[in-house]
Amino acid sequence: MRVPTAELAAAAGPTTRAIRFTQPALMLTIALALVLWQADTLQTPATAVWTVRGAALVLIAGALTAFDDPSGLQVAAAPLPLSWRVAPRILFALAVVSIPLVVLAALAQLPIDSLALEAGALLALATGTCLMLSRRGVHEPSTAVGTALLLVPPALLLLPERAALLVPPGPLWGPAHERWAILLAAGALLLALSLRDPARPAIPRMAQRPAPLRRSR
Amino acid sequence: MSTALARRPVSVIPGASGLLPLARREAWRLVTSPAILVMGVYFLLIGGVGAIQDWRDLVDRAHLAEFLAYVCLLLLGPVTYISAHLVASSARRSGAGSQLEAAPSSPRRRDLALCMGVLVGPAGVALGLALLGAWVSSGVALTDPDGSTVVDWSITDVAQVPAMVLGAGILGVALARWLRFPGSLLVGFLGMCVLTLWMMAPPLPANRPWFSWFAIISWFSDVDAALAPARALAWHTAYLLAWSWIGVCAVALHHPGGRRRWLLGLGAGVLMLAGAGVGQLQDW
Repeated sequence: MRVPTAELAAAAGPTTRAIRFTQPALMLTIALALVLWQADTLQTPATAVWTVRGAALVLIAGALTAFDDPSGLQVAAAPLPLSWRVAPRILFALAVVSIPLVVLAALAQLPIDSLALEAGALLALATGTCLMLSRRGVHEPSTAVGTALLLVPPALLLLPERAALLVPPGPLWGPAHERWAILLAAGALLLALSLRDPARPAIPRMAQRPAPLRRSR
Repeated sequence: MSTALARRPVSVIPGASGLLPLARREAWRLVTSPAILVMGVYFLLIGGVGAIQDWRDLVDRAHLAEFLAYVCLLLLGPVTYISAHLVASSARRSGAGSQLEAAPSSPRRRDLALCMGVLVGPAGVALGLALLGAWVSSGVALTDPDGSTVVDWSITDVAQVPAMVLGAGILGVALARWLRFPGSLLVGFLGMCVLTLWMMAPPLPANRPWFSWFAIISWFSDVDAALAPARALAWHTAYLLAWSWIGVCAVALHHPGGRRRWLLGLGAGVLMLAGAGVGQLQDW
């Protein structure tokens, strides 16, 4: 596959300028306020994990606003596939979530890989849903998806032990993260589907021979 | 979300009475918003599963009263905020703002009608649910692991619920007007959640919870407000209503023209807020 370097370089600047930074910055402020308020909990992993998860959820909700793209219709005419057009936004969302999360997890001495798995699964699922809604003409998908995202943790806490996802460090940690890996795979699949160009056929068409012309009598 | 149209032509009457038909329409939009329906079902499911896990016995009046208190205090406010924000920002999100400019009503009047719709719709529903809770809980006691707590709602408890819901809805309208960017709903929602949790969570200084935008029900809050006299709770209701009035003034001030009287109204609201804030601590 040829990487359209020139087109990407030309599109990178305008796409980055079209991303709104206000909302992620505000969400980062709220996440920081949450962590500062609960700073005492960072001393022990059993309590720190809940604070870090709460901050990660706020950051993911903030990162989703990167997919509210008012310039989407105009940019759709550019000679770049959808995945390349959306890539800067996905990278931006990844940076907004991952950098503070890694710092927080390191400060609280929590397993970074496990928490990154949880955040990655939620981010992939939420991003995929946002992009799917965008394809269906929803202008600001982050509003609906972000609100729904905030409703997820209370529901996850009610899951029975054999299907638990939000667990403290302990014997259930490993099995829970196997389930998170399945969710991450589902999120990646959803993201891949949402990044398919809408004009691309589901099954590649085979070369067809033109039908013979009939002579009219 | 599309902009709903009135089924019948809305008469254009100058003055406050002209707002009523529009307010009724907005109240209906607020109450039937998908956010209310979806989140209502969600909370009922969550509450139902939680109740089955926690109680494991037949539902009695005390548990029903507790469930109604959860609905009134933890569900109605956030859901009304989201619904009001979605309705207030629907024209911007659907690109129908320019069509509404042709309507025979100014943007300020439409926004005031929306605020009145919060009072007529969600706050009215909240008052009904609070009265239902008061009736269900009359004379019953809920046994907690740490003792028995009387679950009797006083009239000052009941009055706080619609005041809180009214404030939440008007906050949604005000934020939709002043923060006109995608994601302002979530920013406001999370900001209010963190602020309220910080103000209500232990360890509590003596008077911090009284300044939160939250109803202090005698037996529900961690404030041990059962010791609080009814007069302090009545002042807290006035405090919540003062915030709502400040929100209405903020909505009106967003629109140009005639701002002087709304600034005066805002000043009166701030004075009312300060008076009620001090008044609620007098007997505490």
